[in-house]
Amino acid sequence: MRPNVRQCFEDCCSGPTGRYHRAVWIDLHSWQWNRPRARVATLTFVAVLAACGGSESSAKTIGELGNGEFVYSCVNPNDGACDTVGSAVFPACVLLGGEFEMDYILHETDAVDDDDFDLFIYVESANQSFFAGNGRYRADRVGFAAMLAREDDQVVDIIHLDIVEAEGIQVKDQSGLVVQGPVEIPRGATVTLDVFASAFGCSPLGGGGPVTASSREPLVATAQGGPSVVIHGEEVGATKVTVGMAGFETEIDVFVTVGPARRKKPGEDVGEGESDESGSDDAGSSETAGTDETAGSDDTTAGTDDGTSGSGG
Amino acid sequence: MRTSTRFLLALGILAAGCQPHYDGLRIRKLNGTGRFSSEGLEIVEGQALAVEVTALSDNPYEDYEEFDIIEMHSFNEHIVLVAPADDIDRFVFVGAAVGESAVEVRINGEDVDTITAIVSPQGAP
Repeated sequence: MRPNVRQCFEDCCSGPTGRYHRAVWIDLHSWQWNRPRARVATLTFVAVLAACGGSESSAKTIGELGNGEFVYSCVNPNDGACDTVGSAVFPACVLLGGEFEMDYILHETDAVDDDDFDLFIYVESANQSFFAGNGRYRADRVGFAAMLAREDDQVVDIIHLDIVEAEGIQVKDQSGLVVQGPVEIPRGATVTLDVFASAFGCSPLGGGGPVTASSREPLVATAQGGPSVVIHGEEVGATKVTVGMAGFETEIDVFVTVGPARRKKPGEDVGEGESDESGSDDAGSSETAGTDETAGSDDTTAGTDDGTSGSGG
Repeated sequence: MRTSTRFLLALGILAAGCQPHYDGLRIRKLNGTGRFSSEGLEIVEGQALAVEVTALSDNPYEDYEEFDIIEMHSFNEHIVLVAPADDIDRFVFVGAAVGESAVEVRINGEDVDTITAIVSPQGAP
């Protein structure tokens, strides 16, 4: 008896691994389960599943012809479709300049002329001036454009997506909360922030894209752009970090508070802060904490409230 | 006229009378954007239209059947792409680039019609 590997595989591991999915499915489909090769197939399957990790970076939606599902996968950490923790949502629109991957899972095998053994379905942009690329796409032009799920010369399914310009940006921390107040960073620690674009009527807005970042006082905190914003607390003090994305900029107040003074050496009883986000709610604590050496109590949470409050006296 | 010639002629007329005679297509929109009108196909660049087509016969005694194969071919796939869809009588039209072209309709391998296809730019009224 052949196990229902296909369904499980689709549920567990879709999106960026679609190519593996097809290969494993075709192999299993053409083999007898009770043959030795099936064991190899099982091992392959398990290995691919293990490689998949979480599937939260992809979301599915039924194609307009209803023959299967388009699978959208985020490639940028600031893709709004993957903004929610634990699950992704198929985007209502795609940000101009945003990148993503698209795959397709066929459900209605009757929809293809070909037999299943050499079935190869791929996604193609209807017009490269809107969605440029192959497998991984970049939205290059504002508009409403189609993607096609094809098998040989057949079009098995279609989907249309809106490409829009950003109307604003939002900065979020790693737990998904919008950064509204100042960001406090213990000296020596690093905080990573994600910047998401937003547009009216487009929630979620897929795509994401590169982020720029600059610090007004690099001696206090450095800021680095890229897929995310990485801020490193250099010295106790305050600065402003300007982050930009999709033509929008915003400023974040950053306070570098007292943090770990030095690394803990073996055998030395010096506290070492590991947290990269300060739990301190009072930015003023940086002034009271000139004695950062005293943070070296048994407590290992230097740089937080516990670590600084004891050193003030 | 010899009897055998008359017989063959009569047989030919009868055979012709037993075949459907093309009188256009009935087109049902399945999904996507774009439309068919008396002018032909109108679609926007970058968008796709899925349709189901049925060949019409003006022979009152003979209609097209399921086994009559309809094919559609674009004269210029760089402007409008036509592809078979998920069933034998279904097709997808894709506006590949702004311009004007035509789609050839074949039934059982025989050219029966040509449909004008206009691909308009996005944002055009």
